[in-house]
Formats: sequence, C-alpha cells, structure tokens
Amino acid sequence: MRSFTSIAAALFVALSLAVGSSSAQTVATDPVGFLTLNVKGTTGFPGGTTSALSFVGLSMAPLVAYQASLSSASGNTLVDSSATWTDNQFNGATNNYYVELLTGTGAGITSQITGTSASGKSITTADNLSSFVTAGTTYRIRKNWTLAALFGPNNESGLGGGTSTTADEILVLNQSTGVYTTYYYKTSGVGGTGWRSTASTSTDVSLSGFFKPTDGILIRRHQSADLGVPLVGAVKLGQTSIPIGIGLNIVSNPYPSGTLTLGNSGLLGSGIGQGTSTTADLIQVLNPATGIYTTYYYKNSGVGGTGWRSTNSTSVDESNAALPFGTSFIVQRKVNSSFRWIMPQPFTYP
Amino acid sequence: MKQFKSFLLAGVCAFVSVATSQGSQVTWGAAQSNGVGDASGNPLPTGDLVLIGHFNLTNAQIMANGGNTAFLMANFVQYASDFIGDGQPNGPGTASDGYWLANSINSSNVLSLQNTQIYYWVFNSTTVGGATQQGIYTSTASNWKFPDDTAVPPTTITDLSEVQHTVAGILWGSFGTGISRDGTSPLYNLAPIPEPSTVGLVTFGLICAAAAGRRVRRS
Repeated sequence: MRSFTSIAAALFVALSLAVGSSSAQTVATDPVGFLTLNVKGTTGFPGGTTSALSFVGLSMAPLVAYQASLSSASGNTLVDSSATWTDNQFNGATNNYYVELLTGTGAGITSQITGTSASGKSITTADNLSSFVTAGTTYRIRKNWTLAALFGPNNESGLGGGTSTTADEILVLNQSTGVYTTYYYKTSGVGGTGWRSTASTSTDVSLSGFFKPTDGILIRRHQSADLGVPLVGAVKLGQTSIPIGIGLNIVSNPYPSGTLTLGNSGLLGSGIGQGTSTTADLIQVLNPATGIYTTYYYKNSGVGGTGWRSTNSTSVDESNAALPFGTSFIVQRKVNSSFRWIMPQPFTYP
Repeated sequence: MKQFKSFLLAGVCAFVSVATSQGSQVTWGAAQSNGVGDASGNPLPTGDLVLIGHFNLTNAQIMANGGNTAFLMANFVQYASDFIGDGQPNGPGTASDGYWLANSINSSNVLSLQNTQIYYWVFNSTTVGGATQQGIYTSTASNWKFPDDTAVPPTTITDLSEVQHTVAGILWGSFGTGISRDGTSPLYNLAPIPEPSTVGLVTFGLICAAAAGRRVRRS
C-alpha cells in the first residue's frame, strides 16, 4: 500500500486547466494522477471457491467540468448568475454530473444534477442544498464515473466477460433500499454484447451505470488471476461529506494519498454510534487475500476501557487502523438515525 | 470421550481449512460485562471449554435432556470452540476468569447452519467428559443467527450479556449468583449435570410412580 502512495503521489501533477471557454471558468484544478484498483481472483483460496470478493474504492475523482461561485439557492435549485452553461449540459440518462459544495457549512456535500438551465443560470439537484448555500459559496461540477470510464467501453480493463452467471460481477448497493445493482460485461447470447445490468440483457449501461468517488463498489471475480485496474483521475481536495444511512453502507476512501485511519477519519466527531461490539456502529474492512473481515467500533463502556477497538480485543487501541485508498469498506449504522460523515482530507496539499 | 475428542479435532481441522476462504465469521464470548461462573458463583477459570453451535432440537428438548450430554452432543452441530480467558477481555491472568472473546471463521453453509439459532455451551472443565456442570445459553436477539456465507458481510457479533435471564435464554444454568471479575456485573451460572446413575434412578422412580398411580386408579 505504501508503494501505491508513492506512485500516486509521484504522479500527481498540479495542472492549471482551462475548463470550458469562459474566463470565469478558467481556474486551477485538482492535481491529477493514477492508482491501481486491485481485484482479487480466486487463486489462493481452497478448491471449490468459485468467486472472490473485493471492496474497491474510487479514490480518484473525475476531472472538474465546471467550477465557480453560487449566487443563491432555493429548494433544489442552485443559481450562479455568471454561469455560461447550456441547457441540459450536466444532466441526462447518459450524461450524469454531480455538484460538490466546496465552502460553507456544507463543504464536501455532493448531489446529482437533474437539470441545467442556460437562461435561468441554474442547476437543479437531486437534494435540497439550499440551507448550505450563501452568496459566494464555491462549487465544482464533475461527471460521474461510468462503467465505460472505469473499465473501458469494451472492457479494456480485462474483467472476466461472459453471461450474467459467468462474468465478473460489479455490485453497487442502493443504501436506502438495500438492493444491489449488478453489472457485468456480456460477450454472447441474446441481447448483444457490452456492459449490461442483470435487469436487461440488451440495454447498454456503459454510460448510464455511474458512480461517485465515495461509492463503494464490490467486484465478485470468477477468474483465478488477480487483476489490476488502472484508475486515472483528479485528486480530490478538501473535506468530503458522506451520507450514512441506517443499516448497511458501503463507502469508499475518496483520497488517493495520505493515511486515512479510524482516528483521523472524522467518524467520531461526525456522530458514529458508540457502545459495545453488539450495540455500536461497525466499520468492517475485508482482507481480500484471506476473505476475513476485521470489525471495528468505538467502545465507550465495559471491560477493556474505551476507544476504537476491533472485535479481536476489548482493550487494544485501533485508532491507527487504516482505511486504505483504492478500497471501500462497510459502515453498519445501528443507531436509528442517519448522519453525515465529515471526512477530512488526510494529506497536506500543496 | 474419545468420540468427542475426535469430533472436536474434526471441528478444529474444519476451522483451519476454511480460514482463508470466504465463509462466515462469528464474534462470540463473554467480553462486555457479564462473565460466566459455576453454580456456586465463582467465575470459571482460564481453560474451561466453551462451544458455539446449533442444536437440532427445540429449546424444550434441550432443557428436558440437559442431563444427557451424549444425547445433546449427538444433536449438536459445532461451529467453533474456545476456552475461558482467551482474548483476555478484562486483562491477563485471573482478571479474565469467566470471560472470553473469540472471532471464529467457518462455513455456515457447509455445516448447514446458515440462519439457524446460535447456542453457547459452557463447561466447568477443559473437556466435555470432565465436566460436572454446564450452561446452555441462547438469545432471541436477531444477531444470534449464523450468517449465510454469501451475505455481505457474512458476519455477526454476539455476547453472553445479550442472553435473556429467562427460559428463553438460559436453557441450562441460571443467572445472578456471584459477581463477574469487573466487580459489578452478575454472573451467568452453570448448573450441575446429573450423574447418569442419578438420571437412571430418577427415570426409574418416575416409571414406578406412574405404575403405582395406574394400579391405584384401577383398584
């Protein structure tokens, strides 16, 4: 993992990119770089194991498409009176973008863009962000990661193709419903070839299947060999605000550098549920090589003292346990309310 | 006894063989507050045996056959075993008497245990055959089910403190005699295992009583 850090850090290039044509949009963007997403194969597992699970994290962000300052907000509408965008520029079934607030009380919050108005100089978002916006709140717009962008339009990444029952599976959890959407690269049979979901053998989802950098992705690989998938993108700067709902959440570390640990993750200050191993919210990290999960929680009572603990010991301090980049992990919210995980940027830049 | 040792060894071997596969994981023990003690209220010493698994019996059948360890064992599917003191939940040495903490990995699906009820079976000895007391505990809490291997994540966390202090949770044993090593929490207690001869005498006595009753009714 340290080599990842070195590679990624060495390749970060701070670029001043002109995004768009307006001078109002010409700004310094995030540094860029790449990392390798490790997808575990079945090699190393006992005979009979037909698949291996990897929790992948999209620790590079898509490049910034637009950034500026907001003038106002009302309901689900954000207004930038200097905007130069065109109608529907940032929305559509295969043209998915999201906005991130960079400053103010909502810094790090993201929301899917559902409408773009040139004349109104406004964008409509899936969530009501108006309470976080004042005149001058800065924002960025990025395109979501898509299957085509992550794994190649024709599966150039080398994931195992096939049918829905034989191909490597990419699973994305809908937190609110608890239902997974399963994607795969289809190579034969009725419905043609290409990226598909298990909902349809014929609908191309290469651009409509999309993800944000904080989305955790599970890959269930049916091939024996491990696979490295290169991910090229921007280094996300600034804090990140991640919604954590009741129940199961699969969250990615969106930062490709630094060491995000339980202690510096901001989880405690954000409202992670404390308690015992049976009552506290749980953070679970899979070791893909062994298939074993390590479960962490914040202990606030009982034998063994208080602090970050794993279920391996009631007394060993786990505040330095890492949440590695390039991976995702489970947050099991047991407390009967949601919260926003304010995750600080775990490295210094510039 | 030899049969049980073979069974235990097979369980350990199964544990090792799946340690690197994607099976299920169960965190279990007495590691939060309440420990487990003998019938007199003394926390069990380090090294006493604890088992986790599932009985292919109803709770009523388990309670009715609490004195017949061989019968219970024949109907028990063991997921893992451990010993009092492991994990040192309350620190080293005698401080962890009555406590243990284990993270066990096995295949629920191979054992056909997925989504079945979890039971703790605790003995006042390092072996089943050497025990004179035992405790059998479960809980109605939803986490006391063995996870399906294919679940994401295939894990559950349980603790003795979740066991209800009624017949819903304590199938053999009791609660409240003596204090745990944390100095405040009451112990879950084991109860004596009747000697086979005692069981036989009691059974014989019951049969005689029934026969006598029948004779009285006829006359």
